[in-house]
Amino acid sequence: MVTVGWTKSGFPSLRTSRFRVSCSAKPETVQKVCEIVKKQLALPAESELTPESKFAALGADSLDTVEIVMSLEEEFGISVEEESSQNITTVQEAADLIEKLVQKKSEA
Amino acid sequence: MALQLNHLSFQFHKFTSFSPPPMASIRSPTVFMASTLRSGSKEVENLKKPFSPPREVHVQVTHSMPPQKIEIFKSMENWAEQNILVHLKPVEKSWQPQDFLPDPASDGFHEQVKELRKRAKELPDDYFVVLVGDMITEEALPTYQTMLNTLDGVRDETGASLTSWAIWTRAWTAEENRHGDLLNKYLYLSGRVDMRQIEKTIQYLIGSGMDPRTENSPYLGFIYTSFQERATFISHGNTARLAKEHGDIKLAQICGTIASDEKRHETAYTKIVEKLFEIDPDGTVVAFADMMRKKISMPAHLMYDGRDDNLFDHFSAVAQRLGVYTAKDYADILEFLVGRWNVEKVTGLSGDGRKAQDYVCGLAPRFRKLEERAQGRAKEAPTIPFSWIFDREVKL
Repeated sequence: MVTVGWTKSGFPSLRTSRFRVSCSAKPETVQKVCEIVKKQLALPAESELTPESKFAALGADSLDTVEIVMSLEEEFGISVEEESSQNITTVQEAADLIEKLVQKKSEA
Repeated sequence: MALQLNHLSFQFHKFTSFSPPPMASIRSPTVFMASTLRSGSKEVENLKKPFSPPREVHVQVTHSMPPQKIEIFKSMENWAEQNILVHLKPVEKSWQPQDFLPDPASDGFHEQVKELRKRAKELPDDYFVVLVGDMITEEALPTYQTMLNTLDGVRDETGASLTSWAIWTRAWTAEENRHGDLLNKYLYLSGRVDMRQIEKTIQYLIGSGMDPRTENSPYLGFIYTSFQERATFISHGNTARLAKEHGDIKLAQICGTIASDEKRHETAYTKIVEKLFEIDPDGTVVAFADMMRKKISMPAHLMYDGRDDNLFDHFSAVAQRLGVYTAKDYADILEFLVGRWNVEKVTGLSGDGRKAQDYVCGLAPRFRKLEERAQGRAKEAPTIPFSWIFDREVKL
């Protein structure tokens, strides 16, 4: 998944760890995603979530994942297409998609 | 049970294949229209050959019930004789398909057929798609009798076993057998559908079987059948109602009669699980949560007609749109069962049992919320051809 910023500058942005650069999504976005995930999965506040944290590994089933996406939609005022939501498996992926959709929304 | 209709196996595409109705597909019809090889499609493996029937993708688990629990079912045999077999109807008192069809031995046969066809002309194509899907589900009965006989402790060991459980299973099968026969003959006479394509679909479906993930456990098995019988009761009730609305009273009677069988079966299966909650509340509540987490898959979810790689999804979508079996029904059934078995009030549970109890009791509202949102965002659905109706097109 390519964030708009990257394609505009012409850099290839591939969804591989080789090309993953830490500044793909704002820290505040990642932070917010972590909060929502923790809440959905009823994880203790102290639990350590990283951008690479996989929802499934944290105990999320398919229903949890859909509800996480729904909460993110509500929190950020965006609408996630079904195809995109299927690709959200980690905190980072969620944050990147959110930023992309927020960006698109502001450009509309 | 047969009518499991796609209804509601719920095909929330976002979930897994064995999930609630196609809410997501209503949202983005382009996803499933895109190609024959759907990415993320439940039963489709990456190496699926196009135009071959789907296969179950999950790993099949067997004998998950601890063997010592088999005793429970042995000890329940007398109870089952007194309390479950009573829900069977004696054959002499049972309706037969011929009671609802033109009588070939009568002089009025041709006229009766003419009238049937005249009424059938008033029924729209989308209604027939759902009725056909239901009929196909019913006709896959061999799979369901097989499934009941996979269950430890209650299986019919010889095909003529005299345990209460075996007697129930055979008699249940015999009652269900009339459903497919009746619908088959009606559809045949109606002239509105492509019988050959339907027959092909049935052959594929029985060949595919199904794995409801009951793992040879009668706990899981009877919870599954409880859910399914209620689902078929609801959907046949809806096809009856719709038939009446379209002026086919005889078809309404047919569907209504089948529905009343399903209701009787639902009563029996829910009674068994109620007893299990009494005997082993912890094991039963954990089993209930397990089945709901895995989602209740529809018996005909592997249906295939040699043409449409997403036949079940398409059929489900129409059933959802017509209100025959919907995501809301799935949530309603779950809520009903939670109430019927008094799950909220069950006590003496282990840690796992309490977690399962919380999960099950909180689940229906979550589904309803999802369903509301999906409805609010529903996009325009495409129309697609169904081989069952000679490739005439129907809106999903």
